[in-house]
Amino acid sequence: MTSCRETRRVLERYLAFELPAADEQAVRAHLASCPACLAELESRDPGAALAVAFGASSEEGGGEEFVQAVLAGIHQRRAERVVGSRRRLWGSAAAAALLAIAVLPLWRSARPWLAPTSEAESAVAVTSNVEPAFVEVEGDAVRVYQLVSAEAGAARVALIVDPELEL
Amino acid sequence: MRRVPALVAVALCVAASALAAERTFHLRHRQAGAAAGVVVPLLSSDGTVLVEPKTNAVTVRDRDEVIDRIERALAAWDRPPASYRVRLLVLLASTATGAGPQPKAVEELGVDLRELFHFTSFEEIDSLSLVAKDGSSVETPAGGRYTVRFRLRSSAEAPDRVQLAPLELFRGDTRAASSSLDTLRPLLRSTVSLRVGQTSVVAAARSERADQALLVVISAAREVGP
Repeated sequence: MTSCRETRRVLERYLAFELPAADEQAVRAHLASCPACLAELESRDPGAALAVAFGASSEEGGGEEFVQAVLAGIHQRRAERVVGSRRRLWGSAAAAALLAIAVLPLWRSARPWLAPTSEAESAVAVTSNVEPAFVEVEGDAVRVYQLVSAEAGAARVALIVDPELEL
Repeated sequence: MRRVPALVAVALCVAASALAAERTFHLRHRQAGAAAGVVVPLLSSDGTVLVEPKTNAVTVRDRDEVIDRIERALAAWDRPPASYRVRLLVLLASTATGAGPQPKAVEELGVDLRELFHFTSFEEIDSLSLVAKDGSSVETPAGGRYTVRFRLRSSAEAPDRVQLAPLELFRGDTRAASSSLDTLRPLLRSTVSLRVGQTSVVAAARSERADQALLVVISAAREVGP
């Protein structure tokens, strides 16, 4: 059983995909049962915390895959942002924070419209479904989640999270 | 020896006659200044183009066959900007209990927003149907509570794709306010890439677990001109 202290010590490495698989699973299991550590994760990366929360609430055991896919998406976007900001240090575009996650085909039981038809398809979806974002927003603290349906003809959905938004 | 200047003169006359063709094209939809980008690559090494912004025309001097080619290129380029009908449904989603039925447009999305998000109630703020041309900016109040503004961008190469760049949402009906939108900070400012015929939903909230969110359901269709 991973402790809170141990979890927080390795949280950055967990987010960077640097932990061995067994340690990663232990951290995830702890996060799923520890609101305080989940809150800590949320303060560092709300998207990752959201993924863990969704994964824990999955009814058919697809949560692990879902969380993995979301984290992979976050990891990829982070890498792209690092590369992008190195290339465009001169521009305001470097300040744009874009986090697009296109992994919902793995979001199963409660969301039948997104369900893959087979395991093979879902595996492909994880690696290839991060398509160009259809919504882009500027702002350091702004996060964008892009939800892509596996079903033809269904609407595309994006969620923009802006801590300064006053509805 | 007198034959040499005469031959040169004849040669110059032949060269001049080869370029004797000159034609002026008056543009109807595009700016003459931008036409140079279309004309110059097609000119022969001796050809010239004169841009006349006042009359919105370009005069090309080149060989006949080159000018014919330029005429065809300009005719294909000088088209009226594409027009699109953009439909926007503005909704306020919340976790309020005792919610009524979902708006019909939400039911037809092919996506169950209640399952996707944790919201239970969708209040329709306004349903807008606007026609916008490529490059034009549209501004309209939405339900008296917000103002929507967007600039539409499209390209002839990909007529099935449209961008709202930017799409902005402001609080309040700015028709009643004395201030211009340009002096206000938008609630939401984003670039949205649309596929013609496919609906897109843009939701905005303060946090991933916020109990309220603004949703804009957007679709675009090509308007066929008269």
